Amino acid sequence: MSSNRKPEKFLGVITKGSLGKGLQVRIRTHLSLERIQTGQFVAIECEGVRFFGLLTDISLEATTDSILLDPPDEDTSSLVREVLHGVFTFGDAHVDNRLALYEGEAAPRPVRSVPSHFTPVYIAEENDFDQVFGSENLAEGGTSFAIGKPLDMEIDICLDLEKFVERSNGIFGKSGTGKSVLTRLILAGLIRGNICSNLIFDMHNEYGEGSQAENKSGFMKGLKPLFGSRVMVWAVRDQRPGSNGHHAPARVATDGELIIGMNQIEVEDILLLRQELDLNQTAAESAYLLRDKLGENWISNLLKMDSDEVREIAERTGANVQSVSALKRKLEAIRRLPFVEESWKLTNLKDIVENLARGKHVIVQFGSSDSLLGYMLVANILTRLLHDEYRQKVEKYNRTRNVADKPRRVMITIEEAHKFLTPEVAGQTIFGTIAREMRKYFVTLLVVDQRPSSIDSEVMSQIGTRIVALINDERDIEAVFTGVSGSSGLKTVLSSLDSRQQALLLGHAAPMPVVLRTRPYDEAFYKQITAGMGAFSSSVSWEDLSEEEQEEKILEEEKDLYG
Amino acid sequence: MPDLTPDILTPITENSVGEVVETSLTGYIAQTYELDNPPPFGGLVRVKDKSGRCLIYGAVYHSATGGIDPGRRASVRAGNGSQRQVDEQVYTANPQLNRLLRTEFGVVVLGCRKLDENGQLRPISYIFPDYPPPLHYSVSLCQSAELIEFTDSPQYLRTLLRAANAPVEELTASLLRRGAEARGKDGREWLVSTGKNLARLLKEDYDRLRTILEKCEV
Repeated sequence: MSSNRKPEKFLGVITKGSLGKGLQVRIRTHLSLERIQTGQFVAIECEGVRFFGLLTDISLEATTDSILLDPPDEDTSSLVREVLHGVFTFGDAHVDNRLALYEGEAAPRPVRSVPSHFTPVYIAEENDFDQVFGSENLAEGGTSFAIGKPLDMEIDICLDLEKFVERSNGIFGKSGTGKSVLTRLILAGLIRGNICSNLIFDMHNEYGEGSQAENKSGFMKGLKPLFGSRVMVWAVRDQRPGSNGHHAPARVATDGELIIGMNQIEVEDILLLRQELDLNQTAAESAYLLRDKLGENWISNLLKMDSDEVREIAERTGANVQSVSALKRKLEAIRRLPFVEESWKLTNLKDIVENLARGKHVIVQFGSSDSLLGYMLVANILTRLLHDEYRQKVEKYNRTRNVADKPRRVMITIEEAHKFLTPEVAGQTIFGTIAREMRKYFVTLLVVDQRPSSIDSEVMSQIGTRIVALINDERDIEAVFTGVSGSSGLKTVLSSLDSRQQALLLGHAAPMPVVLRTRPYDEAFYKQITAGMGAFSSSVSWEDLSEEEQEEKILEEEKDLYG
Repeated sequence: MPDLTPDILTPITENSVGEVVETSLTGYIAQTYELDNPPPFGGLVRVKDKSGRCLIYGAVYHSATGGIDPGRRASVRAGNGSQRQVDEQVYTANPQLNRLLRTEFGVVVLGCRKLDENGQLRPISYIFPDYPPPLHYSVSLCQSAELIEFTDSPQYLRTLLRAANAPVEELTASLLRRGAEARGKDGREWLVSTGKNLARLLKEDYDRLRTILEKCEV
C-alpha cells in the first residue's frame, strides 16, 4: 500500500510468526529499545494491504550464548556494546496482528492472512487511528463516541456505541483506577447519542448529581446536571416516616422515592442475599417451602410467628425447625431496612420500567443506606420486574412485528457486580439470566467490578466489550480475558498499564484491542457532550415530536432556563 | 573523490616509501628507501601495476630490519669503556651500517582501482588485481583522503580477516584506528558502523570480534 511514513516511526521488519501466535518483528529502529512501549498500535505495510496490530511484548535476544556468558563492560559508551547492538544482540517485538485494510476498501476487516517476510512495521500514526477507530460523530447523530486517546498521540479512539449496547459489557479495574469515570463517560455517551435507555444502580450516589473527584481537583458532575430531564433520579427511602420525630430531607432532588414491600420479595432474592444475610444453604432452601405454603406475603407472615407457630409450620412443610427459625431471624434484617414496608404496591417500580421503555434514563440511588444488602435487594427486584415486562414486550413484538412495538433497548449498570454474578448464584439470579440471554430481549448489562474473578465464567464469556483499567491479581487478569482469543499478549499489556486514567479497550465494539488514556471527565467534556443538544423535559421522547413541536419545545425550555 | 591523479602520474613522490622486492598476487614484500623508515603497521599503501592503469591497494602487516646477508646477524657496535656509544650515536659512528642493513615490510593486497579509457580513476573495487605488483616498483603510503575513501565501504574486511601469515586481529584493529583517526569527529560513528559490519562477518566468533573491538578503542 502506498505510504508516506515518517522514517522515525519505522520499528523493524517481520522475521517470523503465525496467525495464531502473532508476529515476531526484528527491531531495526534507531530509537533505543527503552523508548518502545508495549501497548503501542502498529501498522504493517504490505503490497495492497495494510495490517494493524498491537505491540504486546518486547524481548531481548542474542545470536550466541557466548555473548551472554561474557557480556561487554558496563560502560554504556563502550564500542563493543554499541557494535554488538543490532548484530549480536537485538530486540524482538511481538505484535498481535488484528486487522487488515485492503486497498480500495473503506473499513478494516479481521485478519485472515499474515504479512510476508521482512515486511516493514511502523508505529501507527494519526491516520491509522483514524482509519481504524473513526472519529466521534455523536453530535451529528452517529454512534461513534470518543472514549480516550492513544498513549502518545492526540487523536480520538472511538467506540461504536450502537455495537456496544448489543451485548453485555464490563468495566473492570482495581479500586481507584478510574472505573467510575469510565462508566460515567460511557453513560454520558449513551445518553447523548440516545442509543438506549439506562437503568443505573448507583450504590455510592455518584452518577446522579455528581461526586467529589478523587484527586481533589474538584467536583465531577453527575448525569442529571448534564442531561437534565432526560435523566430521572429515584432514591430509595432513607428513613422511615416518623422515626426520630421528623422526615429527614432528601439529599438531592429526586423524581421519586422507592419503597419495597415484603410481598415483592421472592425466594430468589433471598438466595442472592444468602451471603449478606449469613444464611446457610438449608435455611435458604426452606424459604421455598415456606413460600409455597404461605403465599405472597410469606415473609411478613413468617416474621409475625412466635416459636410455636414456627415449629408447627416447619412440621407441616417438612422443613427443619432450626433452619426456619434461623431464616426468620435473618429476615429481620430485611424488615429493618428503611425502605421496606410490610406490603406495598408495585406502582413506583412499574413507573420506572415504563419510563425506561419510553426512553428515559433512571438512576436509582441508595442514599445513606448504602449497605450492600439494600442495594442488592432493590437491584434484584427492580431488574426482575424489568425482565418480566420486557419479556412480554418482546413476545408481543415478535408476534406483531410492528415497529411501534419494538421495545427500547435498556442497559442496566450494576456496580459490585460480582455479588450478583458469583458462580453460586449466577445460575439463579436475574442478572445471570440477563448476562446470558437477555440480549435477545433488548436488555443488556454494564458490569462494573473490581473483582472479575468472582464473576461466573459463563457470564464473563458472554461479555461483549471490555474496558479494563489496571488489574494486578493473576486470577482477575485471567478472568478478564475469559472468552477472548489470543489473550496471552494482552495480559502483558494489561499489567503494564498506569494506575490512573489508562485502560485497555477490547471486544465487540472496538475494532481491535487498544490501550488508551481515558478522556478526561471535566468542564471541556461537559461542553462537548452537551453541545448541540436540545433540552428535553417531556416524557415523550424527542423523536416522537414533529419538527414544529420540537421548535416549540426548545423555545419553552429556553424560557424556563433563562427566564 | 579526492584528486589523486598528479600523485599517481609521478613515479616517485614524497609519499613513496619503498620498492617491491618480492611479489605475489595476494601480497608482496618491499624494501624501504631509507633504513628504519617503513610505513606504519596497518597503514594503507598502494603500488602501480605494469600497465600503469591499475593501482593495487594493500595494508602493511609486517616490517623488519636486518642484515643484507640473511645468513649473518648484526653484531654489537657500541664499543668499549669510555668510548661506548648508544642509540643514534652508533649509526653516526658507523655510516656504513646504512649499506649493510635493510628494512623490509610486508603488504597484504586488499583491492585495486583502475583507470578508465579517459585516464580517469574509477571507484575502488575490493577485488584482487589482474596481475601482481611488479618487482622494483615504488610503494606509496596513502594519505588521509585516500584512506577515508578506501575504508568507506567495509568490503575489505572479509579479505583482511582471511589474510595468511598476518596477525589479523591486530592488523584489523590498526586499520580501523587509522580510519577513525582520519575521519576526526566522525570517526566514532564510522567505527561503530564498520564494527557492525565486522560483527556480521564474525557472527560465529564473538571472542575474536571482541578482541578486535577492544583494540580499536585505544
